[in-house]
Amino acid sequence: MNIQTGSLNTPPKRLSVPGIVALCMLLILLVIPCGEALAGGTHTTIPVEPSASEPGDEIFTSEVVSRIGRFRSPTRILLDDDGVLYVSDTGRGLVALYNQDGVRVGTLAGVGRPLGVAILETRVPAPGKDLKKKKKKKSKNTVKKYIDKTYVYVADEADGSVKIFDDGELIGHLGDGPVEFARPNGVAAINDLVYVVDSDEDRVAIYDKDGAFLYQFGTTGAGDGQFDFPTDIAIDACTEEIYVGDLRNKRVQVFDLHGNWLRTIYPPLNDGGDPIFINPAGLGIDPLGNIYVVDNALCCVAVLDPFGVLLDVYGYQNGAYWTGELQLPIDAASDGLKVFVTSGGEGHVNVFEVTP
Amino acid sequence: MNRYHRTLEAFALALLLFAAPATAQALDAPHNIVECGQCHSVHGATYPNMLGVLCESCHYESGPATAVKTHSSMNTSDKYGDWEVDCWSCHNPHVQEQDDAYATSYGMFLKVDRVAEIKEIDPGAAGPYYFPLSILRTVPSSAIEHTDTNTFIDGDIDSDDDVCQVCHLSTSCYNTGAEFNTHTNYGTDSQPLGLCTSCHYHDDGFGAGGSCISCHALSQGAGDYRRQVTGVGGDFQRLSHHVSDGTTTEIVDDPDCQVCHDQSNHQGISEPEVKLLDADDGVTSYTFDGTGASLDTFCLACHDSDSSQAFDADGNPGNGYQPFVDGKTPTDIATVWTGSSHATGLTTEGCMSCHGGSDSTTVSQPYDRNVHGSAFTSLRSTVVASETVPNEDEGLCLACHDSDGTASTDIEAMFAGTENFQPASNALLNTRHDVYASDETYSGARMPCTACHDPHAATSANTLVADPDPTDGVMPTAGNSWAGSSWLSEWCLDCHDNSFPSSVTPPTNALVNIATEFPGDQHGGAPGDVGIVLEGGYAQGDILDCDVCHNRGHGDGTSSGTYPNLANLRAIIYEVDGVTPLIPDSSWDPGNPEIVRVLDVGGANFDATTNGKAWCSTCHASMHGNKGCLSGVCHNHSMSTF
Repeated sequence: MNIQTGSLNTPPKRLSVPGIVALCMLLILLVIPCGEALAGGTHTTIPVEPSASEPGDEIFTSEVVSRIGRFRSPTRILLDDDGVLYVSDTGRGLVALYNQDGVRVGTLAGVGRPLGVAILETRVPAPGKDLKKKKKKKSKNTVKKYIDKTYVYVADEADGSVKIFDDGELIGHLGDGPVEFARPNGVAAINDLVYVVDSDEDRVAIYDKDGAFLYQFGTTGAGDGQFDFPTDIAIDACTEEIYVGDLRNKRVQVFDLHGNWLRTIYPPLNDGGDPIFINPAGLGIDPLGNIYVVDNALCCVAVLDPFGVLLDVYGYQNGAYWTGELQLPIDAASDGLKVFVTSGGEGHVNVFEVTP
Repeated sequence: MNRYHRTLEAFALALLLFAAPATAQALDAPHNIVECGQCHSVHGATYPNMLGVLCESCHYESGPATAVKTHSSMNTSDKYGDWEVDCWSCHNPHVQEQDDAYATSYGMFLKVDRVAEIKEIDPGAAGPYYFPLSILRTVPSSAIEHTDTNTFIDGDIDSDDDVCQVCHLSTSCYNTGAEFNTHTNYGTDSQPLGLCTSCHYHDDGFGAGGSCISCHALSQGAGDYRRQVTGVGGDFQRLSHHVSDGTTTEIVDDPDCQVCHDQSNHQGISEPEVKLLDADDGVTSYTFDGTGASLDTFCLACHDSDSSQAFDADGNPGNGYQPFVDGKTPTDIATVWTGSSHATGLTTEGCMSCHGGSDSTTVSQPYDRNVHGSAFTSLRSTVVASETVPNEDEGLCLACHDSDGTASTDIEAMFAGTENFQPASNALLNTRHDVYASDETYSGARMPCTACHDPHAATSANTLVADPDPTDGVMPTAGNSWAGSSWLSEWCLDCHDNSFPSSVTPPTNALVNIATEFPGDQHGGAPGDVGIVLEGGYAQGDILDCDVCHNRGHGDGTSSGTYPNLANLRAIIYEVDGVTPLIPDSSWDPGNPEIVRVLDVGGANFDATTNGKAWCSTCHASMHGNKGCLSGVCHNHSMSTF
């Protein structure tokens, strides 16, 4: 990836991916608190203003290296720790699972119009274990009290619900089920909590892993912490910061896990002085904390650092949008080495390689 | 142009710019919440009319407005070239014209009495907006009907005034009485409620004919006129089916159908055809002529070394040519098929001899001869009811490989033996490989014919697969496990090392690991007893191949009679030349001087602990004592005395 500082006109300062990965691993090994390591120890609460840019000759080059799947209407995308892609296909009413070789490895069916997908790895009481009862005497037998579970949460625009899947089986809903949300869109999960963007109600609702409503944040408007058609949500597990795409306000807002507003990322400007994104329809985040803002109108993906500094753009070449690399993209996911973007116009997931 | 005109022009331009905000205020709901600048860009616009971003910036999946796609060759068919009817051919995004003209409240932003344009596009252009290269056709419309909620899409033929008919009375596609008028054949079946959009969805670009799978989710018409291929009970929900992600969920989609089916005359005015499309050139059609063999070229165009060159699920032909949404690479059959026994023998039905014919007990119904899905694995055909062997894995093979079948070899007769026993190793064994379902009830083992034979590749000279256990990473090669062993012995040991391929269910009690034991056997690498006199040209120190003593697994056809050969030992043993039968000591079995049995004389005992002497004495002419040889006490695999 071209890691750049400054505007589009600034010659890029290239950092190698292996170097970044090594640095990240070292930090993890040293158990340095992520927030301190990546955010300088404190969260800024200063809005990040649009970065100025002069028209120049900067050229971003991005090229689709492969395509995965064939969908009727690919919308949201998630990449799990095993490298499996979860792609919601609203046209077909399912979430398709693909490996990165393009082979379909599974399906989550029974969703009317699936949008956001989130995965939560958690632990639940083992069957038959009543954890409230105290044991009369200790046993040397190591009977598991908990078992590991991987829950998948899928927003269903059709009935206004977020469905919970366990091992491919539908096991429940968040809240009251259907019509819990006016329009559930992006979904994310962390620390046994599930965050759901309700686009039509301009809010983010938080539930526990079993579906109990906890609290919400966001109101309609253009101020800090307000939304006008929020779209997608992404959580940086390292810094525990939440990014929310705010479509009609043409910005990305950043919150802590409790919904406290931290800062706003406005779009940097392109060579022509126009915002690099105007329709933040989808968000992705990679292990390095880089944010991928997907603009379905300009058909590009802007890669930003956590404070909105432009690092790279996919689908934008020689100062022009609509390069054909992306056609009506909606969402993106990345493992730091590849970027996977749902291309609604083509019906594929387009894959970009992060340039070292 | 004089100064006056330039001044006038500048004034007009300024007036237009100042008037723009006022126009925004005049937008009809719900577009009245959209600002001019959200659609129009004075700077850097790349599209005429200063359009910056278009309708799809809001009208997209997960977006704030209903997702739609434009009606174009990209979303329907390019039979008539590369064309698009863009949004504003039907809609005026500023004003609810139909409401103003007819005092309705449909809220569709439909144009009224306007000229529609069909525009040429370049499908190879960057997109997603296919900027018009030219105006292919201008279609003047009559007044569009808006007297009721759905009248603008009612598809009626009494009045030509709905929004679809504006063009489709002037084009050759789906107009009344011309080509591609599918509705003539299907009548009201194809026009539920009379609404065009019941089948032609706006979010799918008004695809011609609607969705394959939406129509074929139900069987309709006399004689299964429209076959049910999807939905509950449909072909693609059978046990095995093309296009699968390994789950029971049906994932086949319209583009999957179009990989195999040429729709050029599907739904034609005359008798509809379901032609088949060449997966490599994407153009050549194949027509079923009543014989399955007429489809072989079609099948093998995809099932070859380069899979489908014309279709690729991800639009990326360079990475494998997987045609279906499942992303799987089709099995390469063509490479091994030519010259195989089945290719040369099954000239009438070809591939369809074994595959297709999904739910019929015969193949007399042409519409049942498809490979959408089958109630049996590997899209296998249904065995006709008159067959004696149940339609398990082995049933299909033995339907032909029997006494009255078309195959030259009667394998079913070889498997007629039903004996089983329990040797010293404590394994429960049948006298043959466990291919019948009934065999599994005794041994727990089950193996399909295809564990040993590849029906696509087998020839009379080479009936066996190259590597029966590809999971262990060992390719059978002469001398692989022990010095001097033949390829065939190595081939047997590929499974008799107690490592089995996934298609084989091993026996409940583990077999002797012959791959480990045999090198220590005196029949293998260990020195033999020099006191034993051998017949048939065999000598001390010979390493015997497996098939010197054993049949290859089919059995010898004996069944619960006097002379079952346990452990599938040969009924006739050959001299070292492999051709000349060895004549046994007739004193052991006076009634059958040329057939040797494991069973001792008299046939009283079937267990391996007391018999075998007659059989062993065929080679071992001078033996000690008068007791059974193949006992758990004296001689057996896994013993140093064997």
